[in-house]
Amino acid sequence: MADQAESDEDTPQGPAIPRNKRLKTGHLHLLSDRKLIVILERSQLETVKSGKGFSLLSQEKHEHVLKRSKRTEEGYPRPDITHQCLLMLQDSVLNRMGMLQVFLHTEKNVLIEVNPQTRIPRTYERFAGLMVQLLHKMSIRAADGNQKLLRVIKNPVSEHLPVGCKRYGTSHQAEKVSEIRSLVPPSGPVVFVIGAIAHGKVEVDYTDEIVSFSNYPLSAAWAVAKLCDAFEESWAVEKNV
Amino acid sequence: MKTEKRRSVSDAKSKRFGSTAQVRTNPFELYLTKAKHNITGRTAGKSFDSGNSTVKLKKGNKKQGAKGQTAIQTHGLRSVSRNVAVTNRKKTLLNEYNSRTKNNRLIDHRLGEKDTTMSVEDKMMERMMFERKQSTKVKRRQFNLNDDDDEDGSFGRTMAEAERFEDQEMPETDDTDDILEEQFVSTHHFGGGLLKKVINDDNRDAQQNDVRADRKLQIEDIIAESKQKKYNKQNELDEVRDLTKSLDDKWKEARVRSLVSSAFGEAVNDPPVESYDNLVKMLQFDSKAKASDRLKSEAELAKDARDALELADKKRKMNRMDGNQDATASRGLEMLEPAFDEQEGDEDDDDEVELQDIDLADLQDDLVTVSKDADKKEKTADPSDIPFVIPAPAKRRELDVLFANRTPKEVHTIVSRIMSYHHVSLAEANREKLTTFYKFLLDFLLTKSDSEPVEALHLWNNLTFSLLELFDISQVKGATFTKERLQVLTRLVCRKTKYRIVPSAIYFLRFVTLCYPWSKEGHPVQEALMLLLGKILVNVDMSSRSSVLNALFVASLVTDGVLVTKKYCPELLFFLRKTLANRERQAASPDQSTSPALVSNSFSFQELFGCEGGEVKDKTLSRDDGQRVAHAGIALLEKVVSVYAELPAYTELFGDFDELIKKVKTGGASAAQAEAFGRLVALHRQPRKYLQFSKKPPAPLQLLEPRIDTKFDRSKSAKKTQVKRLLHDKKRSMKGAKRELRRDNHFISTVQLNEQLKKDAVRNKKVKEIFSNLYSQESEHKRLQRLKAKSKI
Repeated sequence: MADQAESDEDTPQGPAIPRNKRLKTGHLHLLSDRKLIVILERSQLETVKSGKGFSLLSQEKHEHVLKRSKRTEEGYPRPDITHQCLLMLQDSVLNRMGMLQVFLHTEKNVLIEVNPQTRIPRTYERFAGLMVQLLHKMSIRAADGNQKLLRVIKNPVSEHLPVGCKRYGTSHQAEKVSEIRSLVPPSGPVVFVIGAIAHGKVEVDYTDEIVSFSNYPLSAAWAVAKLCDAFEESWAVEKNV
Repeated sequence: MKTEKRRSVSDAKSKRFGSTAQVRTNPFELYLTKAKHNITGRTAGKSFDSGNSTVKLKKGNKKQGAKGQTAIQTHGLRSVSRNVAVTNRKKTLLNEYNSRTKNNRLIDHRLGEKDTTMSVEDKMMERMMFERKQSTKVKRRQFNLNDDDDEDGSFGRTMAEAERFEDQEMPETDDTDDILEEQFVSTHHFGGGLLKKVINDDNRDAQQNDVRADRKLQIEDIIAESKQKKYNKQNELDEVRDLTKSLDDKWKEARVRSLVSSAFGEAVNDPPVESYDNLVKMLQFDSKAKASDRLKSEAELAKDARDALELADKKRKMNRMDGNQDATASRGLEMLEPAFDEQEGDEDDDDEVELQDIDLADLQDDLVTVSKDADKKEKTADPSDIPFVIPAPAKRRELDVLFANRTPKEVHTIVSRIMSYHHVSLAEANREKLTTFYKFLLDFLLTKSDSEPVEALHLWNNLTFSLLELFDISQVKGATFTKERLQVLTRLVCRKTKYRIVPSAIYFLRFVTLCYPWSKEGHPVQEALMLLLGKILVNVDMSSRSSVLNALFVASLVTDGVLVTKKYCPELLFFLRKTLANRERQAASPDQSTSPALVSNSFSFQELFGCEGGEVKDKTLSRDDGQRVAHAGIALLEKVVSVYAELPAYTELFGDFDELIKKVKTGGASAAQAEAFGRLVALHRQPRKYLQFSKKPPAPLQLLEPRIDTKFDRSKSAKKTQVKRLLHDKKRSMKGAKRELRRDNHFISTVQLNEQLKKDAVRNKKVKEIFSNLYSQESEHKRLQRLKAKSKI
């Protein structure tokens, strides 16, 4: 909460207006106020020049590059975690109902907005290609249309979040283990920050509270899946289906 | 990039100079370039010294709170590269400049002349060595004869070697047989005899004749010897041939003997095969089944039956002539018995089925009793006088004659004998005969049904099977005949609003339902039949008792059809409702003399045809009858309800039955049944489902495939960029060339200036010298003049 107060102080002209013009929520006018916003923090998406072209930095393919640039000590990059998480999120029923918004924040401090309409490539290879293009071109459009599906947007992410919504950070080390359903608000948006990393902690300044979903450490993809599932059930999405 | 490269080249060159180490430390010499994106694995140009001079600065962005890093790359050392450029120009441009006015120049090729380190002696030595070397290469030297170490000997050997004559070996030959013996050669070949002769001459002349004789003898000897040799050789060959032949013969003989022994001797000698094994093998190949006679075809069976009939008939005739009637007849029947027994058995089964089908209340029991009575009555006739071979009647009257005073069983026997004698497989013409016979038979039965309805039942029972068989045999013609009959009946029914059903119609309708069973769905005759039955039910005269009962029978037929085809028949419901309503009217009458318990619920067949107690009556329905009719009606309804429960209009169709049944219930005996029916109707009644819109699933958010360039290259288009790059390169190289030219000019002008300055300095020096000389000369001159003047003075 202290962080939140500080950030409010940073903008004396008032709270930032959420800029989500591209979110297509018209077909959901009744439920549009309900929204789960997931921010995948510390996702390791980085381009690397290897051979002739550019590719997404990963442990398996660029071990030699990492060794050469003396980056093995800081841990291996795992873009596949981000891929898994995105698959879980974008394929969820919650997303198909238009109640989900995803942001990616990479370790290189690139902020990416994911359009709910984005169909994430199923194979890692294609995903990697897509991400490289995104990081170079700053945006990705739909194959048959002009919609921007992935966009690199300006930092900080807090400027893109709706005003006044609760922002939860997630960590296994949080003191309190809480049921996800108890965190689901009856209406209005809510923000969850998930670390797209193998292990470690996400430390961001814009969260209000750190929560833990389980007594056991969860993988990012599983945490995201649990989150979506709980929100689907709580918001009784199934009844509409 | 190009300039960077160029610079880097110059840097590399400058590394040769020792001064670089000092320059490198000078921070002001460094070029700094900032990389836009820090991409791992990308080499952002060649740095001068990646170890030391690649400076990484932390770019603190407070607002983003990030730890972004931007690499700053260094390139080049200005002074060093300039120095290199100047040196290069001195080597190239200056030379060119210096020799710009010259057409040619002397090149000193003297050995060691340019080498300052060599002494004069060394130079001389080298030159002499060179000369000697040159002199050995001259060709003339080859022809110098004085030279010792020449290799001019023939065949690759020196003359000295050749002169030694060593190792001169004659070629050796192995086949010495062909060569004449040494002795022979030495004596008899050319020169051999001469040498000897010379030797002989030396000894004495007297022996000359001997020698001649000796020579002759010798030649003879030689001839003999050679002949002997030849003979021996031939002998030897013959001997060998004989030997081989004898051996061959022996071998052949031996071989034949061994073959013979293997063919016979061994078989005899072998121990006998064990009997058990033999047995097993025999069993193995034993035939397991034997070919049986094929089944007799239909035609053959028919022929056999006909032959049997003919034989029996012949015997019967013979016996009749003999006057021994009974025995032959019985024998003839005995012969035929197995065939007919079977048929009778089938018939009985069929009758049972038929009776079950006619399900008018409990009509069955009465029917059976009636048939028994009929049997007893007609047992009096003698069956033995039936001929075995009966021609198919060609006229209707013939049939009447044939069946006159016959019991139904006898009639059946006659019919079956006619049918088997005129089997279709025996002759195709029989089909026509049988078709006619079918028509007559049906006509006969229908006529009989009208005249004596109860007796006709037995006839029908006995003949239905045969009739159906005939219907099948007659094919189209029989069917047409049946349909025509049906059409006639339809016309009859439609003509009257109050139709009284005749017994023949009842029998005929039942027969038609057997000809075209309900299970044959969608048959046109079946449709027509259903319509006709419905018409009858609607048009039936409800005032007559028998007519109502007959209508109930028809209703039972319709019910059967409904149960099978599941079709909605409104006439049936109409009729049943009418019967119940009728019954209601009856119940309302105050006549309650008989107790309801005594009333039987079933109808007898006599009742059906309105002839009870032997006489034909036509009366209206009594109260009891009404109750029984209601009972039968409800029984039919119960059957129909389950079928019609699936209809959407079920509630409407069976809605007003409740009221009727309530009234029936007050009647008495069938109250329980009515109650049960009421419950049944209620059970099937289900609440209506209202029309509803089908639920539409919510439209899911449409997912879009992102556009992925399969050949993602940061350059937009290879062709475009190539042109661009070329243009850029051209521009840069043009710029560079200009700059180089400019610098060349500058260099040249500097050189020229220096030259000029040097020249000027020399000139000044010379001028000064001249002037000083002149001055000194002048001063000398003046001094002399002064001296002269002094001296003059």
